Amino acid sequence: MVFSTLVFLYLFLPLTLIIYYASPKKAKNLIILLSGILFYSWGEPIYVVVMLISTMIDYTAGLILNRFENNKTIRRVCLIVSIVMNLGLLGIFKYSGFIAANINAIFGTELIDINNMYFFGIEYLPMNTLPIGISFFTFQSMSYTIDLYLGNVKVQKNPISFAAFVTLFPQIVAGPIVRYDDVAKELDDRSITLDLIYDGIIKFIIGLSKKVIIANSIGALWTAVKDTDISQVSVLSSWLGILAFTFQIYFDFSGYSDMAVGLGKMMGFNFPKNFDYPYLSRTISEFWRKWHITLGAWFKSYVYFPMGGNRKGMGRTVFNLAVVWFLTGVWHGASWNFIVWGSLYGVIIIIEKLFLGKVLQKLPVFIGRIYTMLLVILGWVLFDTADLATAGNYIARMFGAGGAELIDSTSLYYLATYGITFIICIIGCTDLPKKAAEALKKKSAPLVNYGGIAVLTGMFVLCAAYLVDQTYNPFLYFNF
Amino acid sequence: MTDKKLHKILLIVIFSLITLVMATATVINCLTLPERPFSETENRYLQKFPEFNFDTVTEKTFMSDFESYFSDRVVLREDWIRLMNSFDRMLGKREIKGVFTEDGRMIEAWKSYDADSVNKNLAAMQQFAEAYDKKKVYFMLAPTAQDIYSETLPANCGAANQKAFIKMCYDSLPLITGIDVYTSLSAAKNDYIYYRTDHHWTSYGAFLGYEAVCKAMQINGFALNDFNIEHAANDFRGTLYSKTLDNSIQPDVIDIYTLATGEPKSEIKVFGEEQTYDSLYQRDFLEKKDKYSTFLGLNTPKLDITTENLSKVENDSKLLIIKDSYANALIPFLSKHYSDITVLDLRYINGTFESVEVNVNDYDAVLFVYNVITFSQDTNVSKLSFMSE
Repeated sequence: MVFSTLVFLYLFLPLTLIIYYASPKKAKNLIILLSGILFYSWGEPIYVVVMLISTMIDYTAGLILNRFENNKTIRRVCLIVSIVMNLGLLGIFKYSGFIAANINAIFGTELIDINNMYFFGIEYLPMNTLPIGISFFTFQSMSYTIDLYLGNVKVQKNPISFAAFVTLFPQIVAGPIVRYDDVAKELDDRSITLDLIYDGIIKFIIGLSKKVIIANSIGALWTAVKDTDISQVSVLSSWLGILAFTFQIYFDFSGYSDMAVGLGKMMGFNFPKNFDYPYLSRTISEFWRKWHITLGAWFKSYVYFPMGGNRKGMGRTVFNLAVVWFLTGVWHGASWNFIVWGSLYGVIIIIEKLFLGKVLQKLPVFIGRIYTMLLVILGWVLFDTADLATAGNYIARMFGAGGAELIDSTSLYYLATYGITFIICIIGCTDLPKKAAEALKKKSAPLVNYGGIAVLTGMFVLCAAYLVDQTYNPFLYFNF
Repeated sequence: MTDKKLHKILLIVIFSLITLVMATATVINCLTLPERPFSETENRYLQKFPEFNFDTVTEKTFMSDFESYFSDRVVLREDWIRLMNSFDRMLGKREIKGVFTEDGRMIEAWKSYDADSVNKNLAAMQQFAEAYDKKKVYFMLAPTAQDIYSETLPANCGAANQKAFIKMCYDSLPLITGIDVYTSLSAAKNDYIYYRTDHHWTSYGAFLGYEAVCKAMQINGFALNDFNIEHAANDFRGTLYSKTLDNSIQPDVIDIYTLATGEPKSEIKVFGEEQTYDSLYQRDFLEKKDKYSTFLGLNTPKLDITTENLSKVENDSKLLIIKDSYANALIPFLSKHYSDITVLDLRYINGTFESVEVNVNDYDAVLFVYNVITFSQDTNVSKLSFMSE
């Protein structure tokens, strides 16, 4: 199930919350587990088993790690089993098709029949049927065994509480990547306060509006441009198209994260922040500290630091960065586009680390921002086109290749019909609305409080309107 | 209680109320509405409750159908859609589901067409004309409101030129006489020639079509003042309204033209039905949503219209019409000149002419009637290439 559907908003959510609030404290984790299984099964009625198996293995690994506190060998084996199992699931469901296709390409034969791959007798098509959120829940659940091995967290002996952590529905399909450590305390003891529910509702409505009103609207423009034969696309249209995707992915993804954080708060959890105005960044390194923060933090904690981070000399640092960024690309999807996309970010970040970062710090802020956004926007072409050739053609077109018209009537029509939406997007991805609200609050707190409620109510009502007639409401993370 | 807390409680109450009221009202709708209601306004059957079993669940059809089922029954559904459409317009979006609403009128957008399929249609028609080279074959390709009112559309919206399309079609059919209705329709643009909420032409638009046919086929036609005009319904909201649900556009009037001197007696036989009708107008439809079907009823593969007591019998007294729904408003006019008219709708025929008991050689003339949008999108015209076998 996804948040931006009527069934979620007007059936699943009210029922779940009513039962959740009504049940005694001890039963709340069980409610989380059951609602999470229902939520996940709605989208993956078969693969829910995969998630539960992964949960059970990590829970058991936790018990063993705890039981053999002083036996290094057993502990190590246990950790390896957990990691291999989680990465194995990812490998089978997410990457086996891609790897098979590449092996076939190398040998120039149909060595592996991609359309007939079996896993424990279940036929699966790895290219098409990736279990939703597999990259999120495997990473989350792995964080527990790794942290337990490193001694960063305490063992969770209650299987329901541990399963509740994995199946906690707000964050199960599209992040943020909540680590066990983030919610360990709240899993055992949390209080649901008025303030928390209030903050949660605000976050949720903002997130829902970002996704349903803004991302879906501007996304329609990108779809229109992408569906046009590239030889018919003018320079202006190509820029408007990829700009539209730039906004769509931000408002969609950060909207999902906001909804997750909001729902988490309504249930008494504080999830980590996932986005922090990334499009205001002055360098690519800064961008990646502010975009999908929990993913970057995960790789930092469990790949970059264990490999030595930046404490083993420049050569090793560069190597570590390269590994992390290759993996970041791969994490986003099993295709060469994502690998190239991630690796290029790695190259840029290494260059920034070597010298460019210092140069940019000295230049005016707007130059850094233009530099960053330009690279990010070009990156999105790689991210959201079918293959490298298509991406290359598209980028070439943006710079006038193939005798592209600079401006044609279609691009003017796009500008006329999406102009206001673009302006809303531009303002919406800066911190201006937040700053304005804070400044106003100093003058008149009640005005902001009650005016805010009026605006939020209006937004929530408008979201309902947009959900009723879903002509365009894509789920963007099926690759992840 | 301090104000600090009060506004927080207020937001929680509002959020809970909206969610719970929507949830409860929609669930009540689900329980009380008939199993599979027909939405007149949206012109479609609503999703029925999906079957729940192992297969539907594992294939996820249960979930996706349930989502449609739920959203089809959401309380105030049409008002929500209207709210979204008006907000979209505020954001500058001019087109809703392929419909422009400009200058008090809804206009179906036509931006491009598949040249291959159009060429196949044209080739099939040419082949047909070659096979029956003794017959006079006519083709009236009517423009739609989009071209006649193109100046009201937003700048650069990509509307394609229908006048050029019509010329291209006529030029590629040397054996078929093209009938120009474009000129008279565009001259009458200030009159009520297209419905405001439907993609068809009005009776008056069809009358202009009739005049053009008469001129081309040398029929001594009736003049406008030979007719009594009855405003049979004034609350018609058509197919374009079903897409936008925009209430702000004035509903349409269905006009029925009858000869002041008295209508000749017609008998209409629907292919495959026992029953015959004695009127060209099925007035039951005036009470329904789909009021355009008043003209000759619902779409069907073949109609046979026999008319007696013609005041102006022409030499060509048997006419074969191959058409889309634009012809439905036109045929009542033409019926006054032919003792027999056979009307074929290729969309519903999947065999030879024989399969619908038609021998083209029995007819004195053949008339194709299409509007530009249907003709450019309907691949069924190409069936003509094998229907003569």
